[in-house]
Amino acid sequence: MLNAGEWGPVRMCGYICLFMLLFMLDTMQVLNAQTTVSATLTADSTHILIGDHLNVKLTLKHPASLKIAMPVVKDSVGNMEFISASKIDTVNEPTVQSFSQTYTVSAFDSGQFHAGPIAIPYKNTSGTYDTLFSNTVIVDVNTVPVDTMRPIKPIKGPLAVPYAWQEFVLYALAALLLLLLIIGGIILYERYTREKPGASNARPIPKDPAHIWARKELKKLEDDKLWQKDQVKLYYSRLTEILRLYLEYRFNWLALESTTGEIENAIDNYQMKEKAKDNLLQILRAADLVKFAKLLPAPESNIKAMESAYKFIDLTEPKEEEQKKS
Amino acid sequence: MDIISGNTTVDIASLNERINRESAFVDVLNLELGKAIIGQKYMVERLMLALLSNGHILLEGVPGLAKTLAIKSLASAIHAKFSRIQFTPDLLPADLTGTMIYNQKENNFIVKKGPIFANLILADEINRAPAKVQAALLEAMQEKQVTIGDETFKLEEPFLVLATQNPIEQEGTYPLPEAQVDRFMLKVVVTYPKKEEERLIIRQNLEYAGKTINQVVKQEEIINARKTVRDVYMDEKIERYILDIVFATRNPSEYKLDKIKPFINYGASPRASINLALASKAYAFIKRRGYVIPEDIRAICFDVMRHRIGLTYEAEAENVNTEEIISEILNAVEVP
Repeated sequence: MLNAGEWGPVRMCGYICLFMLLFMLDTMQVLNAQTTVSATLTADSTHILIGDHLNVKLTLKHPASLKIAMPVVKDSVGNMEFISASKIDTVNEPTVQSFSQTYTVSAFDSGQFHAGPIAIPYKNTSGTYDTLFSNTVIVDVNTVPVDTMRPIKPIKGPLAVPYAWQEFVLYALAALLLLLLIIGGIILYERYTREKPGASNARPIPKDPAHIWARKELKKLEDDKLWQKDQVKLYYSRLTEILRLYLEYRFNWLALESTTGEIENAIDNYQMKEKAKDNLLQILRAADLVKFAKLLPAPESNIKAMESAYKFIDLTEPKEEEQKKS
Repeated sequence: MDIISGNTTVDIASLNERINRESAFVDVLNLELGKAIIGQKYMVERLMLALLSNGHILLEGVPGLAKTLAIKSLASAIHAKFSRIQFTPDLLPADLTGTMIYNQKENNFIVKKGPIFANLILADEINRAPAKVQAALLEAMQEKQVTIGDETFKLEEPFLVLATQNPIEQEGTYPLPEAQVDRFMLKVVVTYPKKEEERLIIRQNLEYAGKTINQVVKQEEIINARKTVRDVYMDEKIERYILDIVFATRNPSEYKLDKIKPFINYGASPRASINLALASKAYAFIKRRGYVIPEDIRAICFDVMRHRIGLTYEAEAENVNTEEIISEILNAVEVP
């Protein structure tokens, strides 16, 4: 038998041994954890109502040296309907890698269902293929309790959802945009397909100012000596054509398409001296007689008609300030 | 002061004299018609044109615009035989032209001439009769003769048909086909009288005794005047101007008139060119001129052309009428 004083070293040795034993156990556990893989399935609840959603979480742990992928769940988890899956959450530690993913599942019948086991194929350290199975979670799916004491009611009608203006904003904007496009299209079509009034009659405008152009043309007519060659009708036709074109270039007046009578009626709308108006109308009236009534004017009348034409140009040519402006 | 002195060739000068002599009745006739018709100078002038150029007129206007009175007065003033035919849906061609009637006494068929055998005919509301009756009338208008049984009868000169149609009522009517409406030389749109004119119309109608129209023109005068009208000088330039106007209705693009092209279904027929020439000569005659000027063409152009241009559905949708098309053409075609 040992005395109380002798029990001290023995107790100390015992403690040391116990401590070492515990340390070794712990180290072995850690080492074991570093070399094994595990798949754990946990659920939010083990009791749900029919059709309710249930979240089950799969946690996969494995040594960093192994490469294991999370399984792809498509239709069901165990015998429960798969609805959706969250993103995979990854935790990387020096020796252990951990993945977790939450699946939303449901069941559309009452009874006992099981979520899992989920099979995870992987390649172990020895190079052979193995399959890891997660645990199974048992879930009780219950129906809604029916109160048989109460009378049966008809099926509730669809709920009336109140209209919200936000729902129609997009449609209204689309309709407005379409309307604007149609209106814009019509405007563009009108603008590009319809000719502007008078545009069809547009003749090329000479580079020279109207009075210079007219004088040049009259000079050419003089040089052609038409009436001297018995071409009096042509002489008066060209003379009146020059004057009518001059009116168009100088006053923007479509005189080539107007008769003498129309020119006479409209002449007061244009700013020109009385003398100029008289000159023009006399030439036009005389030319009408030559052109349409076989009038044979005396030679001096032909010369006078030309002089009157020059005079008309002189009287109506733009003043210097007007020319500068143009 | 005239800048020109010279001579027209002899034929124009003598023609001017002849016209002055022979057109004297125009003023007298106008004065006589003025007794019965107040205003409507345009319509009366067009009646004269048709009378002088041996054409027929289609008058379009609402009721009560003195269309019937005008032609009755004209008939009285020239002492011509006048017939009024009210066109109805049950009218038959024989009601118009006449028929063969069995004569029991002589045991044979005799011809009973219809109302078409007159000098001036008013075909009132021509579009109320079916096509066969319209065709019978229009055939007589064109051929100036009527065949009853085996016999063909020449219609007496002058022969002028004045047809009317109402533009506002379309129900129960038989619109004249384009080919038939083309036979009318002029289509005149009769408008309401002016306020002052209507005041005079009221006064005239309230008088107890209506003014009587005297015979002031002989039929021979009309026939002679018609010959003179045909002699009115028309220069080659005017002929080309007429052709340009008519061809612009057929090929607007050639006259830089692309903008009216979608509105024209078909252009004016050669009858339009003939009638433009003839009516412009008659117009020059009325104006005491022995030659035609571009103003004459423009003055009668609307009446000659408005019923000869076919419009498209697009024109109808855009409310474009033939008057607007003719205006565009006249504004685009160069005057000689």
